[in-house]
Amino acid sequence: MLKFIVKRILISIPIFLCITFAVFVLSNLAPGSPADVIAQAGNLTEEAYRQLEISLGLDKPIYVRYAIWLGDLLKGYFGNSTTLYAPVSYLIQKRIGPSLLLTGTSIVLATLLAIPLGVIAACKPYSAWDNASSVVSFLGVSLPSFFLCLVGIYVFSVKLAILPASGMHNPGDESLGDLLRHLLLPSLIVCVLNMGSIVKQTRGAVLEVLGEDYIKTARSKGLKEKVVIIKHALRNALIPIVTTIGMLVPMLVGGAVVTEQCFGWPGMGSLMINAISTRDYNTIMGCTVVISVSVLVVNLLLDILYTYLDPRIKKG
Amino acid sequence: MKKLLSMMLILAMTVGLLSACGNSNQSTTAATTTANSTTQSGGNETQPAATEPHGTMVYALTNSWGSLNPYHIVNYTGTNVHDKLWETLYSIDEEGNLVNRSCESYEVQEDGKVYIIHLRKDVKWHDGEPVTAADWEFAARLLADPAVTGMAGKTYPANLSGVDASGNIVETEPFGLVATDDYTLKFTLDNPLNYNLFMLNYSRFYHPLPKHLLDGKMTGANFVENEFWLNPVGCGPFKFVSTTPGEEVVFVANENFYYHVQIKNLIIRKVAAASLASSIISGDIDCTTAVDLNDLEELRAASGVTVRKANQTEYVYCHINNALCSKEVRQAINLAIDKQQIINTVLNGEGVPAETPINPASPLCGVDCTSTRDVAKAKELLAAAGWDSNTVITMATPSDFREDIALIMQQNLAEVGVQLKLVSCDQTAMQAGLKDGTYQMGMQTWGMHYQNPTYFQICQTPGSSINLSFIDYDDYANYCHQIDAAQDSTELYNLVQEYIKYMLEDMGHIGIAHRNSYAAWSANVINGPTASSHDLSWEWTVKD
Repeated sequence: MLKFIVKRILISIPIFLCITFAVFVLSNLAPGSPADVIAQAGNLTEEAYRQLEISLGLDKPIYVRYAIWLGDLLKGYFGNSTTLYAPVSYLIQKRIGPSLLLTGTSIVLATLLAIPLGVIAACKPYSAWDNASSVVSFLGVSLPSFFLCLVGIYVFSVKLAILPASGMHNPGDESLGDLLRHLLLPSLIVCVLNMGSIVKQTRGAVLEVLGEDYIKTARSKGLKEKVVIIKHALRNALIPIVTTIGMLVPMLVGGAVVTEQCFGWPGMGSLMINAISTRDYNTIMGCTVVISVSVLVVNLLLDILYTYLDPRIKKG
Repeated sequence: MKKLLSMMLILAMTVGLLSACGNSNQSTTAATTTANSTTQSGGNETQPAATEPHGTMVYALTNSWGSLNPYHIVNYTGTNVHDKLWETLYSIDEEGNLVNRSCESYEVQEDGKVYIIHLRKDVKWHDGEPVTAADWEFAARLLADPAVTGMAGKTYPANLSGVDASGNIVETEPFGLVATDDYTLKFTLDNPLNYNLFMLNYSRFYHPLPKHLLDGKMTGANFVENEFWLNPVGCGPFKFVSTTPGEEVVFVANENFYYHVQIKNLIIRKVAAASLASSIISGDIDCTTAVDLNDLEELRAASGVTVRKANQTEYVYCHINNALCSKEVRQAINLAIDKQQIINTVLNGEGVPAETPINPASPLCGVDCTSTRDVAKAKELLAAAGWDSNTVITMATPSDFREDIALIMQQNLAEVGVQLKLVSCDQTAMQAGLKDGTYQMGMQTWGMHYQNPTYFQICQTPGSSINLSFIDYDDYANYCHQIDAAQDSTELYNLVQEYIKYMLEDMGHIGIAHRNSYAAWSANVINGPTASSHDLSWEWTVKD
């Protein structure tokens, strides 16, 4: 197992370099630069603009800038934000907690709701339950997140006035209850958006397994249907389900971009959107590092988890 | 005597132009004149505190404001935050008048080249130390240090003598800002400025920095990245408590401020434009000055919500590449656009057609700036200019109401044989595309013009980083320099008329509309912000 983990980590290094290089190049190729953003706010002379470009390192070729950035990263330095003028590590530290809270809650909720719904749909195919789960899946997959956010705010904050429309806390109230009130609506919306894929995957995987011979054997042994479904069918269908949930991890770290924007949730998503629109390369790269490392780590953990879920993989 | 009379005329002119007027019961000014200098002294004495600061106001902005460093400005949203934390010489009231802050009185010498500012003696840093003239000089010298780069704020010392055009100090010359004693500042300028423009230029964006905390610790080299900005000690009406950079700043009332601050807690928060109205109606947000015109009706109909029209408009205009489009073509394009239709349909009737950056309603605008669409004349001009109808002009617009305006322009221009290709992008991409010639036109907005008739000159000056119409002649700059230097109100008025006439003739950029701005307050607000920046925040009050 140790050999496997070391091998996976070594494979992850070039993948990480490819991801960061691609993002670095793409963000630098987008029209405009941090110097242009800063110059928008004042009447910079050509000389001042040139000085600004030099101070930001924009006078150097792109591969040199990437090498400098990578060198700094190896020393643990993410650079400074060119628009917020704070260390990128400080900005990420401030934003990652709220993002993990919002997306973590919604993924847990989505998992807890979607797996039973998918299993029931698989056990009773083409029934009312199945149709209901299909509707939920399609809604989750097809509804734009901004639409759900605006509907949610209109209904629960404006019309019913039972949930807050923005922020993480009411002014001066740092209590857990207040936090949960603010968390409820955005996390439910992100939950609905993610449930679709989990329900569909669960339904399909469990339905496939239910047709296997060992399920018939289990039933013929007189096992209770509940045991057959949970212990034999669901257990064997877990690999694709876990993979689907694992695919949500980038969002867990990167934040639910649109939802965070709509609800004024101070997470990684809104930090990234702001960084992209202001060509804040250091912040874009800082967020990329955090997201890509977490995705690579989670993929490694998923691979380890697979061996526990399906011993055949271990043997292989 | 002549000078005395002219000075009296200045004072008699438009209230907002050359005098700092009173506002409510706390901010009044009085003016006196002397033979050799003009002195305007503030009567803004500290009012006895009627009640303790109370309640919390959540103030929403739709753009991120960058840093708490008042000289690092990525957009003008930052001024909404900075003037709460940092002291300024003057502030601006709801009517656009100057209101004394740290400037208690001033003298003008050498026909506007020298300004002596007498500072209030009761201004304190939030750690209790007094704010002195040395703190103001310290900030200006720090900003003008050549090691400080990447700061839009470096524009502001550029008018001082001893500072070059890029805002860097010239060691061989005396620095143009000196603390002559603990509470007196002497500004020496390269070119004369009239009082109003001096104050508009220097009061709003010029702030002191705490020399007693930063001397020797903050240098030009670490000015940008200094950790002080993450936990700043300011001197404005509100004290810093905490921040999530770019998302939220929490302030608490500065009870030692020389005006009585009425709100206990002020929270400035970034809120998405799409959910702003809902947040005001639900009471999660107390106020905003960035009301979307499409939300106006909903806000007006909402129970307890107050909607206030601001006494300033936003100028909507198009940069047009002068190198590619001759004067006749620019004039034709201007004549072909149905600006009234744009206002009626896109802006819901909230605005007036614009021909120049100066609002026709301004007391400074005496020239007929009526916008009339004339398709026949536009065609005539294009024919005279030899316009090839196969030529395609690419115009960029950020993804907001400007996209809708661009669609109407596209139809209007097609009628006269000008093909407009529209590209939707973000603000930065538009500016970059205009700069490198990818786009020949781009639509911008500008919401900071108050009473300054030359506010737009940086878009008309050759060599400026935001002269995106590529104006390569000095005519605009020359007009503006003359206006800036005019000390006599009649001369000022006449020069502004000449400037307007020149803009109408040259059409260096295309004006579209002066768009109305609105503020909205939730039921919790008794008195709140009305304009996008530089409100008198110490006068704001909430119920709880």
